[in-house]
Amino acid sequence: MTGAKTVLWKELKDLSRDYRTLVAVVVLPLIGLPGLALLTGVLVTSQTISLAVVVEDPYMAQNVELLINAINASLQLYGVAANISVYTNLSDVAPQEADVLVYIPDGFYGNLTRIDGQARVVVSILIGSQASETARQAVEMTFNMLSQNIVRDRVLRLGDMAGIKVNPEGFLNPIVVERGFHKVTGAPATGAEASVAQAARILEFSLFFVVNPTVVFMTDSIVGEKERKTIEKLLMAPISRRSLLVGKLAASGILGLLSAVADGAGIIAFFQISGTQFTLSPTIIIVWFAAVVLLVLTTAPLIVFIASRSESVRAAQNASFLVVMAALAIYFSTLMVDLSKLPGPLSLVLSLIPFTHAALMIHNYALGEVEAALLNAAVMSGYWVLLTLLAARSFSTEKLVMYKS
Amino acid sequence: MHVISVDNVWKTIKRKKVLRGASLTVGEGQVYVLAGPNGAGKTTLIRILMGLITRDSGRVEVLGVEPGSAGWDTAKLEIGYLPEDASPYDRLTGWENLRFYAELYSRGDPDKVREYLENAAAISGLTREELSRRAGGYSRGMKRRLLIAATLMHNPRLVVMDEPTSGLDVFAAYRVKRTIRSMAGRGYTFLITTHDMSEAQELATHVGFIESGRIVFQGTVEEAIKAYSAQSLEEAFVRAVGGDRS
Repeated sequence: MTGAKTVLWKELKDLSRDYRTLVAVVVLPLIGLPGLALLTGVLVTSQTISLAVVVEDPYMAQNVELLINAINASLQLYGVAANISVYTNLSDVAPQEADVLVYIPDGFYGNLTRIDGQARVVVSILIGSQASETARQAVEMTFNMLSQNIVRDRVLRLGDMAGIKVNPEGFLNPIVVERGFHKVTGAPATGAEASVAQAARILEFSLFFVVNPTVVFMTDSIVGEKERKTIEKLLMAPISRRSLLVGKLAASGILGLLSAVADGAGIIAFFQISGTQFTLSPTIIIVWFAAVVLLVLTTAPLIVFIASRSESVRAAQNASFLVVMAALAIYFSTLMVDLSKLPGPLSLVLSLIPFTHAALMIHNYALGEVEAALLNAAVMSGYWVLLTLLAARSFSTEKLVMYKS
Repeated sequence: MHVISVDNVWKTIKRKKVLRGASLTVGEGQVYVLAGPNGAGKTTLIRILMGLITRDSGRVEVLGVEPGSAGWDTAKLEIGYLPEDASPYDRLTGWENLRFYAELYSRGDPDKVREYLENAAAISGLTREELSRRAGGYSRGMKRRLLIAATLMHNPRLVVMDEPTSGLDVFAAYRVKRTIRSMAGRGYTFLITTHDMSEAQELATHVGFIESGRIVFQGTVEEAIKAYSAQSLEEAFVRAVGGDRS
């Protein structure tokens, strides 16, 4: 296997100077994803919206400062900065100048203070603006809280009138929903375990970022040698096809793992910085890494097999692109679909694709189905052996030499 | 003993008969130039000899071994092959390119690696500074010299070069030919393909003319000129392949 080591040395040396690939595969996710989260955060918090509050009710006008403070507090909770202007007449406001318009008509206060009155408020937002939508939610939260306080007050007043003692919370929330979790085995699960299971979806999706560089590098490693006119001399060197293949597979494996670590770290950083709830446990990270290793080991020989069966460089690249697309379809769907809950025929088709088992391995482990996860790992290992044998058998020097560029 | 022996080799590629019973022999110490027009089957024959592609029928032996057979990986240690239009690894330096091939041909023996690198540096004629630069920045001539050095560094018994001066300027081609003459003088066996007859006359001890997948003549340069009652090898070649019908 001296030849394999020499080929690996050459591939890694070559790769270490392929700055574009390294930046795209390793540096970009490590810097880009956290940077994206930071940038999004900065952009969201730096945008200021204009909020017009029109109070035509003279009684409310006296307490407008309290209302504005409450709206401001809600906006801060949602992370929205706003310039709030107060008007006493709706005709004074040009709607196009306000991202959010809050209109409190005359009679609002009277309806609030009546025991069964229903006050009306209009919140109009500029369409197509995410910031306006967020501000609308903040404003509605303010009025919901105000509504709840008024309900409590009304219930207490009615209780006094009836001479009975009542609990206003029972009126506000007559049904209390208590949330619990359980695993597929039926055993109860903690909230932390539920969060990990949710985060596992992101880890499953992240597998795409392992497939992509492995496919690109492996395709280039095989057909690129033809394009760069280095293949013929290499094939005539005293090295067995097996050693050549092992060297190239090892190099693509190393790149795939580097990319996986970079992407994994980048994705975790992205969610941490952007404030999204994303809980991971050490064991799920280990399972994810094992899935990544198996995925790289499976993908690389699959690409060698495809490249060896292709008639031209272009055909090999197109076929590799289809593999990337298949991986994207599977891993993107894991964000929304439970692969393990699909009907029989669909599940059977997906189970024939090795990529599915890498996702299921993480998914099943996160759900507490360790045995199922081990079975997925075993299937992946089987695919690895099968595809490596197929790659070794189909790795034809004649095909590579006769490729049409 | 023949270094190369080809007998009645046929090869069809994409329904086109590229070789139609080609036969030739190359003896020890010969500089055998295989000359033929474009598309005559030179590169296909060379690739079959190097075990890179299979033949449909016929018999081939190179250094006593059938290309692609069990002993072929060992036989390759005694062969230096320079394909047409070959290129070094652009992102590796000249040294790294040479080291890569030195490691493969020495099978990891560090003493041999050192010896092969010294050989290669001398053959290439490239300076240490030039060899320390990435090959991607080399001129076409420098790339060719680097590859020739990688081809000859391990003192092969047989050197096979497919169009070694193709696309090179006059100076680069001159250097390549000088290297070949120098190595030939030391007893190396060469099989060179070319369609440049002045180059063939300059380098060859023996020639083979290939036309439409058949070897239509083989012998010494003098025999070729005599056989076709020609003034030069070029004239003999043109008559051999029927190119002077106009």
